[in-house]
Amino acid sequence: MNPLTQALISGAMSGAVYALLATGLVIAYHTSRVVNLAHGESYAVAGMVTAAISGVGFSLLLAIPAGIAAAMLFSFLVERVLLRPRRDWPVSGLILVTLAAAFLIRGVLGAAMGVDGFSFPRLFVGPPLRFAGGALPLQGLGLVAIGLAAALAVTLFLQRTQLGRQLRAAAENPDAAELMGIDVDRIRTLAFALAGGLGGLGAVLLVPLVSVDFESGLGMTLHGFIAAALAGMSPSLAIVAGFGLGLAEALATTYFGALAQDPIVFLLLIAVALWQSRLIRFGGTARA
Amino acid sequence: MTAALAVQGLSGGYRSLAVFREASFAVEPGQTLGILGPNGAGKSTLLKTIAGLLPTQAGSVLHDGVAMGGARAHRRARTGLVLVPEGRQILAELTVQENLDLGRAAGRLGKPEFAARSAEVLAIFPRLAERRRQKGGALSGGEQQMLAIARALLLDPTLLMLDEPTQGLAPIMIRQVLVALQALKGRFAMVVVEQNRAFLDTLADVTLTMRNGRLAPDEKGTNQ
Repeated sequence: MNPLTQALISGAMSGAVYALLATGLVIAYHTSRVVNLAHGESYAVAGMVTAAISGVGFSLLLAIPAGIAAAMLFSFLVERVLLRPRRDWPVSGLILVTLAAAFLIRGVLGAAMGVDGFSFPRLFVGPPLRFAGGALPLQGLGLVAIGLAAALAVTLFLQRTQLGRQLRAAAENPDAAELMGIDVDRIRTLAFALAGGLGGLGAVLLVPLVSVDFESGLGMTLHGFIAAALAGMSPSLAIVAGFGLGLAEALATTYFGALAQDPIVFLLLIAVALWQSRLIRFGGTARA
Repeated sequence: MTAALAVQGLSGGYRSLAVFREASFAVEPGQTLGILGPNGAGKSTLLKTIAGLLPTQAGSVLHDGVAMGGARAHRRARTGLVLVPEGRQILAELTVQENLDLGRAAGRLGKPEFAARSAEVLAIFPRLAERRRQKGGALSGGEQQMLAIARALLLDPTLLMLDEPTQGLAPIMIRQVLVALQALKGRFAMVVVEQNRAFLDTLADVTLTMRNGRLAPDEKGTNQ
């Protein structure tokens, strides 16, 4: 087996999930100015709901949409029930509210389903594709292809559709958008539900290869946030950053060991943050 | 005849701070009302309150005879109560065409009517037609003001409020904005807030002044 090829395959698979998570996080951030620290919980909710429904004998064709719908509902409720009534709070307070929501749903999932890991059958079954000394499971191929397609579809949605333009308008200037007849609250709710759906999609594609438990959400939030930060909170760059993060992690694990993975990823984050800060003056004005 | 806008005993501001108090006036359909006043007098806060961006502290706003109550800004815009805010507030990251297309969000014009209105608006502001693919942030101040007015026209206003439309513009651009607004005068009611008396003297039918949060008749009263 070629370790480089296998690292690239593994990195592309986790990178697809990070791209989905980062894209969702960025969309929700732009419409609300809040970094949703409960975002990764949509991954855990979708994974565990899908596992639970599939586990009692229902078809994956029912379990997967139900899992994604549950993730969308959770994300929708975070915005509708927790954030919207507190829209006049400072952003830092709202971020803490999302952190509280993350711990709450984590507790609910743990109490409802226990602390064991769950998984469910693969959607794409067959012998793995072997090339250049590596093996790519069909589920992994589906994950990369669908993840990339979904993240690109969201980018196109934002650029090419009337609703996408309304979302960008609400993100850039909520008051101006309201004056144009755009219901900014509705747009925010839509953005959060869409973000939850992307996290859920990542879960139903990746969980059959790994597993999910009630604590999986926090790690996914962290990875999604790192990718989003590396992308400078840009939706289109979030795809590239997600895949880049996945590849960096996999290469670090392959060549320096699993313990080196987190330090290398965080060093990468610090390096990019320092580079980005060189472009910004105090007060937030970009240097020419 | 029902007034396009009837403001009765309106007070507003930020949280518990009242910026203007007990404003009362009416604007008839097709009439242009000017409001003069220095910086900080409360003019912009008054318009934002009428538009629904700020909550009403007391009093009422009736648009075409319908009480606006606590309706948010997007609902008021969908009834044709349209504000071009101070500083234009165009969407800098969207292209000129995308800024204009957002006018569909209000849903006041059907697809063919919107297309016809777009053509009409671009005929009024030909500079925008030349710059359709450029981002709003790349336009000059005068072009941004034209875009802000053009965008408002695509909402099919029955009442158009403009907050300091000449702010920061060169004299030649002020003349162009004035010509455009004069061409539109009479089609719908307008409320124009300005510090530029000459501009209002040319445009407004009636002018009020605002000082320290209170509205009063202008010394010139009716202009025409």
